[in-house]
Amino acid sequence: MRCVRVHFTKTGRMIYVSHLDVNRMMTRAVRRAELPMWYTEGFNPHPYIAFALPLSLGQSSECEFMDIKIETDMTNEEIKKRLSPVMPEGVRILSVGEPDGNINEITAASYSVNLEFASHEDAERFYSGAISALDGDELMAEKMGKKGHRKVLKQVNLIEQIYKKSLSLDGCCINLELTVAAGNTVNLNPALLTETLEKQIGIIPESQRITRTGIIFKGE
Amino acid sequence: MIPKEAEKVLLKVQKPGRYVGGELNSVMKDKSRISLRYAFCFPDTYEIGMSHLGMKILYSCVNERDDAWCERVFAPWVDMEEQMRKNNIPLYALESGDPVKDFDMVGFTLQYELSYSNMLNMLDLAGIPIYSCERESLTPLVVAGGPCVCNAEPIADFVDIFMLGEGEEVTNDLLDLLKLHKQKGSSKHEFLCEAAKIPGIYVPSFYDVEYNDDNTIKSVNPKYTAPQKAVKRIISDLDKVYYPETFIVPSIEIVHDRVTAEIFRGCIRGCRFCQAGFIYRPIREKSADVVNEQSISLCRTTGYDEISLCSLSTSDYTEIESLLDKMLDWSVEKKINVSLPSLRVDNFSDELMKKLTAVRRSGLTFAPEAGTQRLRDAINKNVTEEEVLTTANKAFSGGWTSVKLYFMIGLPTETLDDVAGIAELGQKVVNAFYSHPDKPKGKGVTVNISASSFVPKPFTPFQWEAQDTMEQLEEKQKHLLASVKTKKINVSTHFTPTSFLEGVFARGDRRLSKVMELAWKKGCRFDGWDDQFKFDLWMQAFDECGIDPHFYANRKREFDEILPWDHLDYGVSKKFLMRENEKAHRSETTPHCRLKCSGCGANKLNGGVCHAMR
Repeated sequence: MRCVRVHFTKTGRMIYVSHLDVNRMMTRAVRRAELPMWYTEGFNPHPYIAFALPLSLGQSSECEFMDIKIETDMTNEEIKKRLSPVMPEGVRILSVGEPDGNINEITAASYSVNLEFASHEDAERFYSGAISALDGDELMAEKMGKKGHRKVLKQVNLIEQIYKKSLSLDGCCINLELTVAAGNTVNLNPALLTETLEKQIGIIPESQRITRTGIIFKGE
Repeated sequence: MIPKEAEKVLLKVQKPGRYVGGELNSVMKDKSRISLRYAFCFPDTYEIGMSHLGMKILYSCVNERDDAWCERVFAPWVDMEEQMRKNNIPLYALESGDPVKDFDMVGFTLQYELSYSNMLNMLDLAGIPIYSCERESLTPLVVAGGPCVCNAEPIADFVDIFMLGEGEEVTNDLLDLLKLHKQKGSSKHEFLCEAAKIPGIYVPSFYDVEYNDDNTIKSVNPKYTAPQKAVKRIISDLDKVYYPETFIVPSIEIVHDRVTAEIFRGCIRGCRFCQAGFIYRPIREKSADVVNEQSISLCRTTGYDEISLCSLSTSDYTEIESLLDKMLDWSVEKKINVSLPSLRVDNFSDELMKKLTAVRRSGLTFAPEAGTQRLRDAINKNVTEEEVLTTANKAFSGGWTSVKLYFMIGLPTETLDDVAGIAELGQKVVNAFYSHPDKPKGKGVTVNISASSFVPKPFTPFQWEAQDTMEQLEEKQKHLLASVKTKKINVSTHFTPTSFLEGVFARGDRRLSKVMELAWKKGCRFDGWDDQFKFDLWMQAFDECGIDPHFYANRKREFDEILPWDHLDYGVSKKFLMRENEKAHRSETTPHCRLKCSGCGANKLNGGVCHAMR
């Protein structure tokens, strides 16, 4: 038995498919690819597939991965060759290799956020508003969190969860490159950041595109 | 392709995956090389429509043609409808994203009466006038098929052409004719005149209906080229008929997310309440080898880990054991689960039970349908209490601890004693568990009783019967709940207004079109969904149209009354249905078709041949 990491993209129409459905989709894809999957033992055996950070509905990604377990020593090239043609539109297999970091040790993720506004003026006002908000020490947002088994609204300071940022303005568009906290303990969804900025600045973009561009492990 | 305007609203609605297409195995074609565009519409949500086998078959069947492109359309959920109306997004097909009104043929599959309002809503969202007479040009031609069209009258004013019976051949016949007349530049009327000559085609506007003063039908008169009776189509050889080698694999979870393998059409049983048992006659089986080959191909191309055998009564399949042997040969190794719905309690063999335990275990469901032997005899559900208990015991030996029992209340001739009998039978199953020597250790038993409300349907021996009123049904539901004495039994019942409305439309006539239009305009849609069903609006619509819904649902008809569907021919003769009705009132059973032919008449559809008598 061998653990293999499959890197893939999630773009186009696939962004409207939820994390749970991608999970189901991949279970069927590995069957179509006729990979020698290792099955979990127990009452209801199923192929072992583990996913990294769930991606929010509507966001695309250039850097998704899943870990699968296979029974024989099939080469990584062969796995890629079999998986590629059975993927639905919007999922492209980038590479297949050894796991290069533990899923539980993900600490951050980077995103590219593109906002398009109705006018250049709106974009400019949002741009300057966003710069001063992001340069401050505190940007509070409400977030659903857990307290034991109960779900409760929590106040979080987003600034503490943003590790890197760069903003650029081009006509009616703003591009925001972010590296933010990600993983099991602290995780910032960039959509929460843009929503918070929209509320604070009072301008809502016409459209918003969020792409995950990288996943970062502890020590990187 | 998703239309640009639609893309902007997708993140504002629940489950946007319903509206984007692009799923694995969906069919894309080059528009410039296509002469016929067919929008296949399922008037319910994506998850329900994508679970429907008929749609999968016809979608692939039409797409086999080089000259036609069949695309899928589903009813947008209320949140998406709101966005579409607000942003002027017309209803579009999932493959191309093109507006439905630009298609040559727009076809609806009508699986249940309570989806009718969705059909109107979808036409309107597409920007297509809902009334047939308001659509003057040849295209888009609005057609409909499915079991409900055996009484198409309540929606006759909206649809240009109904396809009666099985669609694989007649759809292609119709597309061929449409292609020819589109090229010739024919008028809609010229086209309909030719279409009406095709067996299985019913052009409702070619029949004039006259009414008596008491609101019953006086006469139905065909005109132009229309035959006296439109006859349903069947496929003679199921081994040779087209069956898809692959299914679309939805990216989001649907209701029946698995491979479906059809094993036969029709049914030998003749349960008198069951419309499917009559309108799909005569019985025709697919051979085990063909089913097995098709299942292998479907599993390989979809990656599903479950196959469900599909028919009206799985254990009546003559090759069931050899089919399971063939399938288990490869499915076990591939960890594919084979599920067998629609099992009967009277021929559920030990062999079958053994094979079932070899695959993954799901719940066991049996349908005694009625609580007492007298009533089971009246409805011709030829199942005895002993058989129910024997099967339950087999299930307990096999390790099952939960059994689901299906019943109906409101059946003709039913009394409160029959209703109490449901609870008593449930109790006996519970008792059987506790007195069973090898019952699963340390576990209790759960008996889930589902008691739906009976709705009399056309082309059944009960087509003349009065449906119980909502008050009667509610009284019986209460009586059932009061008769259950143990917590081991859970009872679920249906919302009676839903069954009432279903009853009205099942046996309605053309005068209901007005009511339907009005109710839809008042906001009725998704009537089959309890959270969307607006009964008060329906009742207002009946009231404003001056139509009494009880006339259709709760009135007993005489044998000599002209029924709204009498000019449609589904094979089974009215004489046979009358005989069966009379036997029901005498609580007499009719043996199933393999024991003795009871002369239903459906074999005439198959050149006089009926496979039950082979």
